[in-house]
Amino acid sequence: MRPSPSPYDGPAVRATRVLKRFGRKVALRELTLEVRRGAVLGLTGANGSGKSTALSILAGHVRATQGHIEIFGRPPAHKSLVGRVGASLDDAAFPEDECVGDYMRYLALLQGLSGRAADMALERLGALRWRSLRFRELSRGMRRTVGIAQACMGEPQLLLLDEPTDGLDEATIEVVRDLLRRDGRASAILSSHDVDFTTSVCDEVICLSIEGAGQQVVVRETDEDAPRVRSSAAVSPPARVAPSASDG
Amino acid sequence: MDLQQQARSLMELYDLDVARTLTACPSSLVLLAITTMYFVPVLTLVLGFDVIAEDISRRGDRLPLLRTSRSSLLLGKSLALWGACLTFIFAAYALACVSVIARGGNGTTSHILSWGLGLYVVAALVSVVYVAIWSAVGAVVGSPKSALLAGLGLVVVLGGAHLVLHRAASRLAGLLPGGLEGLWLSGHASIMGTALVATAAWCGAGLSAAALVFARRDL
Repeated sequence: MRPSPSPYDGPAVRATRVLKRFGRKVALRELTLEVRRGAVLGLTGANGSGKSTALSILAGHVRATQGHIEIFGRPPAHKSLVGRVGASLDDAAFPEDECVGDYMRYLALLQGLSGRAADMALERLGALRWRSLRFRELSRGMRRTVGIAQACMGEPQLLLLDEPTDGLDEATIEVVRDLLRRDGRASAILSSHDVDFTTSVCDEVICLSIEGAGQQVVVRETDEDAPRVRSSAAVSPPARVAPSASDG
Repeated sequence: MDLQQQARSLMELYDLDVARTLTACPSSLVLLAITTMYFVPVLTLVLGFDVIAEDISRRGDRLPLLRTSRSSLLLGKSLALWGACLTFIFAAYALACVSVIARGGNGTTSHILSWGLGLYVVAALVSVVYVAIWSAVGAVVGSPKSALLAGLGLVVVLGGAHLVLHRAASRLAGLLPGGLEGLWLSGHASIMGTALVATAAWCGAGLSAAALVFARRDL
């Protein structure tokens, strides 16, 4: 059962001055972003700059220490978002002793989908042949592929992908690239160190650093090729990257 | 064991009403009932100390939680744990009933089965209280090892509190998880009503605390 579409017509994601502390350590500092419907936003930055933390907060797994977040006009983890957000996060654990196919069917069942939806999601990523394998038998790249397959299951309206190309072969990277480029069918936020991939699929990019988040930079538009800085992000530190324009 | 001996032994453990009720029960089933009641806290803990804490510690809830609410997931896990406990307890009672029937004596088959079923239901009602408590412990501590240690500590504390109160104020002791089976087995409708309220209160408190903590913590 798919959730009914919301009458909300604002941006898919809006986050303002989001900060996360784990004890004394600041894991994410002053992130402000806005993702319009159908757009793909990339989060880049050095290790420890808070990319994964930002995605975990947006997925509703981790609570922000301060700041305001709206996903389709609702706070993260709101019950109306169940099934509308798909995520493949780096540190989400699979049950090691379970078969890929069984676990995917369990997730499909939780979402009110049929087992066929689970198989279709695996098939789209070329992972259907692994469905009888146990998670502990999968390589890092295979896990990543299955993670992305489960994120896409049920056609969510927002995809959150943490390092989606890490460990993947070229063919699977191409599938993920196609998936993200399907012209506005879903919004997406991804974190990546892969500059080529990021600039080829993302409409906008934010570079995070331990001092804070940079401005949201447009890297790809349908009617213009030139990169420019959007004025939507009201954050203090200046943009730290100016990625080259690439329409892919 | 003759009836007088059985009654004397039961009087040491339960109130007069309960002892009187249980004297009509086949002695093997009484023995199993007493054993089960003593082991239900540990059985539920051993089966379920990691049901919630394990997934919190390894972030195993992240993928299911994109598809269902936190409260639904928690309730589902608690019910699954209760189901596992019920299966174990049912197996024990089924085995005991079959052996009593096979040995003959102690009344008709229907008499033995009705006692077996009644004691099983009481054990099931007591076990759901512990399932709720262990769910709360798992959600609070968030690590399987700590959940096991905290659970064992709580078994000792609750058991000790029941023992102390049983001597000083037996009515109050009956309201503790360790005393609930005494209320359920009393045979009086009003006392069984109190048992129902106490069971529901413990269950509600345990699951509400678990849901509250689980809803607010980072997963």
